[in-house]
Parts: sequence; C-alpha cells; structure tokens
Amino acid sequence: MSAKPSPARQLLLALEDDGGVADLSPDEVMADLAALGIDPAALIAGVRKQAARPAGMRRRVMEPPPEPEPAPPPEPEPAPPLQTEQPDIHREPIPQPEIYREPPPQPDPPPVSATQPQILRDPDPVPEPPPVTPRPGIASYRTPAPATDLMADMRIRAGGAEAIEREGPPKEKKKGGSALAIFGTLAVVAGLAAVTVAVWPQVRDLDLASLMERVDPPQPVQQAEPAPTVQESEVTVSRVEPVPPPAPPPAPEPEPPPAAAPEPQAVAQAPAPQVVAPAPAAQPAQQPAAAAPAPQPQPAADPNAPLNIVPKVEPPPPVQEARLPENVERPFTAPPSITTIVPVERELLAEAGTGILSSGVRQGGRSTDEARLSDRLEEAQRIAAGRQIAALVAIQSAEGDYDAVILKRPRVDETRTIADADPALIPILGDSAHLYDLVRLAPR
Amino acid sequence: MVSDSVDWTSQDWDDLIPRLILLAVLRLSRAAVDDGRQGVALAIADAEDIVDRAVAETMSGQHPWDQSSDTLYEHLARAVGSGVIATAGLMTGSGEGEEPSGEWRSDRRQLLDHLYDKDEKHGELASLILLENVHQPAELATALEVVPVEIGNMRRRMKREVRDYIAAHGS
Repeated sequence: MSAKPSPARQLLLALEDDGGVADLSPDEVMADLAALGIDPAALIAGVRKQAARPAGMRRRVMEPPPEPEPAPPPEPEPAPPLQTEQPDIHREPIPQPEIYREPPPQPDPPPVSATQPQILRDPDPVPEPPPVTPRPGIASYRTPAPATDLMADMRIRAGGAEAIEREGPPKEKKKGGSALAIFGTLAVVAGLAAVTVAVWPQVRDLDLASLMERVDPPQPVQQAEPAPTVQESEVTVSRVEPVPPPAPPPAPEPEPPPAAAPEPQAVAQAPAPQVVAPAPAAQPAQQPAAAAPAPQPQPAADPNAPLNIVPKVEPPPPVQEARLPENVERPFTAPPSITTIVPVERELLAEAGTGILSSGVRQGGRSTDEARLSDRLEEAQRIAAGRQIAALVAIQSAEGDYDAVILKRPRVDETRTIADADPALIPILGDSAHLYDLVRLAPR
Repeated sequence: MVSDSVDWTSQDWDDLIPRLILLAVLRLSRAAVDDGRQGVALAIADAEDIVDRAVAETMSGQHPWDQSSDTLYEHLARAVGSGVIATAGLMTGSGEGEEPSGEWRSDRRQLLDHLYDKDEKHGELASLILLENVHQPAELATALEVVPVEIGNMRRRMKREVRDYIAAHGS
C-alpha cells in the first residue's frame, strides 16, 4: 500500500486545507476519499463493531498488536530454513531420509529434529502445541508462555522425558536449536562475506595492476621486464610483420622460431643496451625446443627486433583510449556544442513543461525551428532577469540539432541528474544541477 | 471523563471516520513534503491504521476522551496527529532516493496541460505546487500576484477540477 500517489492525487492532497477538514461537508469528504481511492466502509464497520463490545472486551492497542503478529511468523519462518539447511547434515547419516521428508507437510515437527532427532519421532502429539496460539481476539492471554516453559523444566527434573516431549521444552529447544543453526549459518556467511570484502580489493588491485601494466606498454622500453608474457605474443606477431618487408620472408619465418634459443643470447648481448631485454626474455620461452639451424635468420632479426618492438607498442594506445572514457576525464573538450545558457524563472519552467519544449515534442519536433527556439530563449532570458531558480539550456549538437535542457536546483523533487542524461554536460553545467527534462528539438 | 462512560455506539462514526482518514492522509503527505520527500510513497493503509489505532486507544481508555473539553472529532484529530508524527518518523529516509518514473512525469505533464487549458491561473498554481513544492498560501499568493484570499478560492475550484480529472482519467 505504499504506492506513489499519482500527480493528480498528490495535487488534490496539496489543495486540501488541513484545518478545513472539520468544516467540509460529508459529501465533500467522501468525494475526496473516493478521488484518493479510499473506501472507509471497512474501517467504519470495524469501529462500530468495536464500539458495540463491552468495555473490557475492547482491544487494547499498544501492546497486543505486536505480540500476536510476531508469534505466528516465527513458526513458519524457521521451519523452511531449517529444512533447507539441515538436510545437509542429515543426509550424511542417510539412515533417516524418509523421516525427514515426511515432516515437510507438517511444518512444525521437522524443525525439532534439528537439535533432537529422538524427540522428533515421538512428537506425534506435537500438533498439540498449537493450542498456545489459538486465542482468537485476545492477544494478551498469550503472555503466560514462560510459565509452560518453567513447568516443562520441572517435569524434566522430576518425571522423565515423556512429559518433555509433549510440551514446551522441546519447542524451546527446537527454537533454540533453530536459532543456533540460523546464527551459525549467518556467522559463516558473514565470515565469508568479510573475507571476500577483505580480499577483494587486493584481487581487484592485482587486476588493475595487471591492466595498468598492459596500458603502460606505450613506454615499451622502460617496462620491458614486467610484461614478458604479453610481449611474447606481440613479439611473435611483430616479427611476422617485419619479415614480409624483406622479400623472401615467408620461407624464413617458420625457420626463425626454432632457432630462438641461440638468438636470444645474441640479441641479449647486442640490443640489451636498448632496453629490449624483455622481448628476448620472452623469446626463449617460446623457442626453447628450437634447434640451432636458425642462427642465420636471427642475426637478421636482431637489427629488426628493436624496430619490430616499436611498432608493436602501437596497438596499446587504442586500449588506453578505450579506458579513458571510464575515468570521466574525457569530456574536457566537449563544451563546443553549447550555444546558450539562459536562467529561467520558475513560472517559465512550469510553462516549459507544457509550453515551449513540450510543444516541440508533441508536434514531433517539427514545429520548433532554430529561429523560434532562439526567440524563446531570448524571451526566457528577458523574463529570468538573473533569477536562478532554474536554467534553460540550449545545446547545439554536432549534427546541428538543438537539444533543450531544463535544469532545476537540487532541492526540487527531481532526482535525475545531468549525468544520467549525458555525462558530457557535467563539465559545462555542473553535476549538482538536477535535470528536469531533456528534449530533442527538430533538426535544422 | 472516563471513556467507559461514553456511549460509543451512539457516535456518528459514518461522519467521523472518513473525516479522520482524510485528515490522516493529508498530514502524512504534508509530513512527507516537509521532509523533502514529496512524492514519496503515500501509504493510505498507514492513514487507516492511524485512525483505527486512535479510535481503539480512545475507546479502551488508553487515551481517554474528556467530554467536557473537546468534541470527539477534535480529540481524535489530535490522536491522529500524534500517530502521523510517529509514522512519519518511521518513514523518514525510506523514500529518499525514489525517483519519479517517466510515466509519472508524463501523467504530471498531462495534468498540467489539462489545468492550463481550463484556466491558466490554475495551471500556474498546480505548477507551483507540483514542480516547485510551494504550498504556503502566502508564497502562492506572491508568486501568482493575487491576494491570499483568492488562493483559497482557487484551491476550492481546482479541487473540483482535479476530482473530475481523476474520475475521468482513473487516477
């Protein structure tokens, strides 16, 4: 029953005078309630019924309500969780799976088995406990519950287990057991959650770190060591590229890989000063099994290697471009689309909801051309005269279309922000402005 | 003085209960607006519960009605006010991040269109209330450049229009 009232109902409530309710005619009251979708008949009947009861039988409001409600829920609620959780424990013994599946139809007994399986089987009488809740209208009678518990304890000490099985104690233990089971599982879950939370940042940092390493490659010469694996693949690919330039590459290409072992050494000696070390380090891993026959192509590759690595670094830059947008730093160069920012008076804002902008929308955006929009903005600017209740912003997009944005200050109920509509507007309008509406007007 | 001395069955509940429910709904909505939660869930059930509780507490003697001082309506209205305060306190923050849906915005625009078509002043008044959260008669009068008394008249006329609008559009 917590549905958001429609605008009409909300307005109707706002128009109602709080103090004037007493003076409204009954017809008017009923008309208002009907408009709000409220039918008081049920409550009137209930009150009349209550008024007809003798004084002592009238329900007391303060305490009873909470008691009766909590009582029933706990029984059904604990049952399902125990059945789902404990089966795991009881499936190990396997001996009594059947007994466990019988209980489901009888929600009460199964939970007891959690802590005291022995008592569970006797509880044919368990259905008797329900008599504790049945009191119809008078909730206050339920308070003596603790007394039964005490009696049960007394029976345990004096008599034997029989009495215990039938009444209170088992239920207490059942609830206690279920509570323990629930708390246990909650504790385990909480522990796991805590561990996850504790470990996640590190894992994420690792991921970020590895990603950063990938992004860094633009400075290949310096980061040769950390990204050996990545460079491995890159190097191999780059070699394929450079090889083609020398006319006869296709044939020699297959050969170089096997000769990798000797090559790295030679390369390591000569190019090492060039900080190409990482690439050679990776090469040996790929071409370890290679034979010696390739040494000749290698020397040819040595001079090429540095050249190859440089072009290799080119691919990473695109990766950086793809990631930057997420950092929100991108929009710094976005402003060029703005043409006008005009403060608008609130009446104009209200009118805008149905006038200026919506007219453009209602008419499919065809009725508002550039000149009309410009006139409107001038008019808005004239009316606004420095008031800052709201702002009307016209934006010219790259395609030449006009977007009109109505902004409202944060105190207004609108919670949709500029960022929701177009993050590119943040640096221009500020992310504190609340978006009232965004309308795309007709293209020129 | 004592609630047991009151003949509860003779009270005009058919008139009292609807009036109290309407009062509770109004105060709940006002409380929401005052908390900056305009549009937050308005619980009609809460209003009925508040009235039910106020009546039950009065009948049971928990909040005895002093027949010598107030009318029963005034007594119950005060009890309803207390219930609203308690309920509104529980509601605080519950709808903080609630965002009006596109459909709700569309309904609002349609309503404003309708009122503007009927009477421009009514449209402006509705816009101030729905868009700007302006509710005080003095503020409304200033914004609309009319005398405060006229605001009361406009409200009454608009109530009829809004009721008709709800009847025609379903909500």
